[in-house]
Amino acid sequence: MKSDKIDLDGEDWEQQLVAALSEIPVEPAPASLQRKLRAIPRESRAGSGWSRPGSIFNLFAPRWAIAAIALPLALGLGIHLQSERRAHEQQIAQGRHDLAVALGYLARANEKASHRVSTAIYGGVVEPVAGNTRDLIQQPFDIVREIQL
Amino acid sequence: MEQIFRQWVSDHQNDAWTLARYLLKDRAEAEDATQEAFIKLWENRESIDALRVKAWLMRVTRNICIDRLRKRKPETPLDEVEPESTAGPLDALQQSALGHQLQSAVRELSEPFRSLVILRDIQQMSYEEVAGVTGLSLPQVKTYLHRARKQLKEYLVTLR
Repeated sequence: MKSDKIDLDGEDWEQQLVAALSEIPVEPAPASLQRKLRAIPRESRAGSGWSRPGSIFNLFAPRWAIAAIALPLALGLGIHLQSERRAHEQQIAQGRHDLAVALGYLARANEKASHRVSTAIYGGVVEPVAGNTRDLIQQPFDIVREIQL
Repeated sequence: MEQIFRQWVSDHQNDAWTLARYLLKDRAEAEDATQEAFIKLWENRESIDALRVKAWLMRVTRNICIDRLRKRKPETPLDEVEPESTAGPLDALQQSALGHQLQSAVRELSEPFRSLVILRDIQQMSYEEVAGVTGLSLPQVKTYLHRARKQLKEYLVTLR
């Protein structure tokens, strides 16, 4: 730097400042960055499958090769998934039907069983209780025995 | 085209890097920003006017840097981002104390003053090119540059 001082109180401070700023060196880019910048065209071609537009070699560019393999695979996978889904849906519908039939049988069996149980209980419990009660009521009170006690 | 691009890299890499370094105050981020700008240059190589490559590149570099500054977490003050020496590798040998003071002062400026000083006063671009890079009008560039220099002067006065 030509001058190591700026006369900040002088009238031409701005010119001195501009002159001093112009002497600040532009910092050289680091070597690692320089390498990266020089590699941009090469990496661009490798990364995005870039090739000369309109060239017949475009057909053999990586992206087209990948597309040629990936497209049938994707179609096959789509068809397979679709048919698998249909099979699943059919199985689920069959399962629902079977379950409905089974539940119907269960409900009918339950109804018959409960009818039998209620009939059996009525005959076995209601009759003995009613007869015993009738006998007790018909017997006269044994008052003398109560007084003795 | 590749050869032309290599020439552009050779001609402008230091300018773009310097701008990114001043704006971002972080070496790794400046490197990423510069690389991003040159990738865009490569992608747009067909449509760019060869005579305006530098202005185009500096505008893109500046925009990338400003985007990155906006994306930084608000709780990280910009002044705390500079972990390294504010001087470049050549500075220690080539620069005077005044040079270091000026570099620090430039880093203290806010936008767009900082960009204006870097582009016009350090990199010696024309007023028209600076206007093109920053998107300001020519009178705005001149007015803001004067204000920026006044701020630099005030900073230097505090160091007396």
